[in-house]
Amino acid sequence: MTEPLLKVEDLRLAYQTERGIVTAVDGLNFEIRRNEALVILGESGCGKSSLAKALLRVLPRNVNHYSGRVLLDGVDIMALDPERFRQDVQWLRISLVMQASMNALNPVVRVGEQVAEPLWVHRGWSRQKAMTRAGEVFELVGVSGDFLRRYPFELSGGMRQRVVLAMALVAEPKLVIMDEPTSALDVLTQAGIMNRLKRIKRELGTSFMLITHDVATSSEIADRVALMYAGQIVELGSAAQFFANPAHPYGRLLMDSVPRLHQTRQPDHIPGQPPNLMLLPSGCRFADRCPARFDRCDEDPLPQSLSERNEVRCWLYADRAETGKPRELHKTPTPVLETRPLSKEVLVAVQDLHTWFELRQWGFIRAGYVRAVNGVNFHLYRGEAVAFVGESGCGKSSLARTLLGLHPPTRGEVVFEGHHLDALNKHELKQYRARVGYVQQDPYGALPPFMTIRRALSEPLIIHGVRDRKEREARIRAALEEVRLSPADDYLPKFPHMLSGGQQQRVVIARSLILQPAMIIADEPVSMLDASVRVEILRLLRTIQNKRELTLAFITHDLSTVRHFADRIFVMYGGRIVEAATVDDLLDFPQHPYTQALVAATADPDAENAAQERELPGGEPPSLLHPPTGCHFHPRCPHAIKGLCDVEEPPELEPRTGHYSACWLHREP
Amino acid sequence: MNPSKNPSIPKKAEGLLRDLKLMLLLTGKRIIALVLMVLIGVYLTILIANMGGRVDELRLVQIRSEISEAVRGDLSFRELDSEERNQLIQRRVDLEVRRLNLDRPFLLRSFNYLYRAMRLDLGRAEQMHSDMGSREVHAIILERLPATLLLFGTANLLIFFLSVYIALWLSRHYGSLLDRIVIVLAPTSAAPAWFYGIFLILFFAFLVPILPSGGMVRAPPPEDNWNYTLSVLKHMALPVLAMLLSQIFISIYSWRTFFLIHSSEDYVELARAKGLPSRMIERRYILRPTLAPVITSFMLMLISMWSGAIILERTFSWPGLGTLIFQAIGHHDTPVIIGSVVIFAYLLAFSILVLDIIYGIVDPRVRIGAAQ
Repeated sequence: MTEPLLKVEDLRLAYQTERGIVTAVDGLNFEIRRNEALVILGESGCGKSSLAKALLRVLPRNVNHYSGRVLLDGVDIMALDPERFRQDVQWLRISLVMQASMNALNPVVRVGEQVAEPLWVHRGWSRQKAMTRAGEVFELVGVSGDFLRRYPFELSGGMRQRVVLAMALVAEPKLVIMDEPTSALDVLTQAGIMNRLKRIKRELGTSFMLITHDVATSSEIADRVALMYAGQIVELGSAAQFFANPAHPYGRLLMDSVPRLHQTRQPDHIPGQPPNLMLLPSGCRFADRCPARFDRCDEDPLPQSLSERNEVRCWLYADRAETGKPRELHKTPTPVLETRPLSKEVLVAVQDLHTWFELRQWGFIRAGYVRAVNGVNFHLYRGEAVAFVGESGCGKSSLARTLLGLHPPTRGEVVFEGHHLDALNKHELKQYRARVGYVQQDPYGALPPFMTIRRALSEPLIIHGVRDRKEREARIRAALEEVRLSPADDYLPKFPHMLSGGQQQRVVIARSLILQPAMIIADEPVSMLDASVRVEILRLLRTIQNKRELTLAFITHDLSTVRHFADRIFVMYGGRIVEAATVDDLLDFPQHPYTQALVAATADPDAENAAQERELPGGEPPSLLHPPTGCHFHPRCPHAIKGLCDVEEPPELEPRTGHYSACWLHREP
Repeated sequence: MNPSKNPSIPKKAEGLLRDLKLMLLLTGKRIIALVLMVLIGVYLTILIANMGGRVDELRLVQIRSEISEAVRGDLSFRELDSEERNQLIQRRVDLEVRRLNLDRPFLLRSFNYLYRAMRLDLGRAEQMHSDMGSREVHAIILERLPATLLLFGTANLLIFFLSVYIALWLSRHYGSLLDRIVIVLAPTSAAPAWFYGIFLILFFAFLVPILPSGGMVRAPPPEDNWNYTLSVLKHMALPVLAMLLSQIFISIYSWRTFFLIHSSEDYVELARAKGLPSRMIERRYILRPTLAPVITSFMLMLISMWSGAIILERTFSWPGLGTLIFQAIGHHDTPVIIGSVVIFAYLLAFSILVLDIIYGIVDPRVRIGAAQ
């Protein structure tokens, strides 16, 4: 039993690109034991996905260097010829779960066939026998066997991800590699899949290698954690030890940067950027960003053993034998964000707002309405930050686009600074657009690739009639200064692709600020960014909002990011607001059953998570085309009252002072 | 929690039955839509061909001249004086006008024309006649149609299968010498098929005379079937080659790029990780999901080739529809021109129907989406 299932020795992988050689994986050593889950944790570009590809030999064409030893049950599978590797190793002994997306499954082949395929290819089973087995694994991952003969587009996102998981388990491999298996999914779906994984690991005894950038998700299943940075493993240890007390400075900073639901301390960000993988420094790769940096960091650190199966690649731990304890990590504390008291001046009043989209058949026959926003009332005060929280398809983005004046409301009205939005003429609408800024989700898609930063920022000024070139230049520089891209001269002549994701998002924020708006609408502003950058962008938005007395409407699916970055929260479900309260009140005392489920499903990183399953409501989010009668949540609600919740829509009640919830449970008995 | 021991697996037959039902539904819907489309198209042709009443005048003149010629030529009317003869002619003209409903408003007649056109009752040609001597337009057209279908069908099927296979092969051997040659040759497709035809005739019929320069079969036609087929094949070689040359490089190039883009899809990568043999990956994971757009681009190509048919068939003196239209225009033979347009409308509608059905077969999203 002491022999590990998988032992990786000095694995290296480099790609040849036009600009030079990119070192993706640089000398990895680790092992996975039977029934053990190893989490490979790291930010984008640290080489974690290349590691999965290297182990399964699914390599792109431009591989420059590929070497090392991978021992599976003591046999070096790297030495096998491709045909042997394909027949003996791939899928029968190591399988892969890809990132959840529409694209992980072939759109024109039935899902059952795709799951059963490896059995008739590798084991020579009959189609019938393989299909029966596929039906078994479908039940195992919680998808009804009725779906075997369906096509991927007939399944919901969560079900597709379960099917991909079923595919990985079909041949009962000893090791399942999972590359970001849940990062594209909603909170509840994600928690449901993690529950399944825990159960499968316990019942089948499979080993897992989970690759993720999400610290909270990783703690759901991890026995051990390998922290990757710039192609190397910088820390390798048990989950209990890592989540409680990481040793490497990067690990500590990363843990401090994770926004947590149940913690009042504000998350910090990690300054700087990971090194360029084409020009790696000769010394420690984290040294530039490390607060504990000292002379010795110019040398490449060797892995230092802390205890059995626990090592860290940092010089801080080198001389422990002599000094007795590691050097101290000195970190300059990040200043605490100030917030100003709420004003009572109403900036935006939204009354009974409906945004419906007509569905047509044959181009002209009305087939129904998608009720994206279905009866929403709220006020936004000047200078406050509010968060709209909900799963995908709850109508939060449609609400944002209606507020921006991009969709006309079907019914109801939006009143902005006393003006009715639908009464504005073309000229007034243009003025309105200057008063409301928009920060999109994907910063790269939001910036025209052919425009320099200077042009992208001067465009709104030109449109709104700032003719003087000098004035434009001054305002552009001031805006860049405000989003802390300085010196401005470094950024102005660049094109978007030359900037990192975080820098691009700063430019987008600068563009939304440049016309001196009264309100900024940010639609998932950080969901495409890495963990350490997220906090940085959120802090920036919050600081600017406070300083300028802006109203910030911040749309997100992730409850854990809102605590320090919003004053009030609106929880949306099925096109309606189900709960509204101040941040602390809502997160600490959630009233609506849906909010309670969301809070229960949101994980804070903790090694204990792996031991227990979360309680979740079953079912799928409601259809916006045919929403359920009464309360939209009643089909999934554990407390639903028959004859009431499924018939009548609940009114907005106030179970706590200033805390509103649309649920029948709060009515006076 | 506990997976049941007998998971319900739907029988294969159920899936097939569902697909069959969906395909029938899809085909039915498409046929209705296409019949409507052809009706509208042909009716518009009739309206345009009427040219605001000018055709009626022309026909009246024609009827009058035909009848007066017949009356004057008839020996039994020799005795009548000119007044009586004119009256007789007038009576006959009136009779003919009433028979042809020319006294009725055009709107009513147009529906009559539409009905006749849809039944392929295309009337009689003014000047042209079929090889069998018939002057019925539909007989003339039906005689020429098989020749065109044979030539273009062969060329297009050849182009389709050759390009798909070569494109798949190149997408695997991306960057190889052959790949680069195809990229270099892709712009040669800017020239139309007849342009290559001229050079091919020059080379293979005159400089190195191994193939006939035109026509469909040797004159006089060989007696036995075997030699006849061989002769037709020989005559087809050059026009098919001309079409191949003008189309194949651009389609290989564009489809190769298409396959290349799609071979980096996540599901292809996952199929590689599954250890499936590369032939299976190519067929099932690259070709099948991309087949629908590939067929679309092929159909667009086919339609654009129809329009080149007139000149290409002339170049090779191929006795097909293209040549027919060319001759009809030369003879100002309106019924034949209109008849050809109707036939083209039918052909187009038929190819769209076939395309829709193929779409439904290769792409379940079309099949299932259409039924909802």
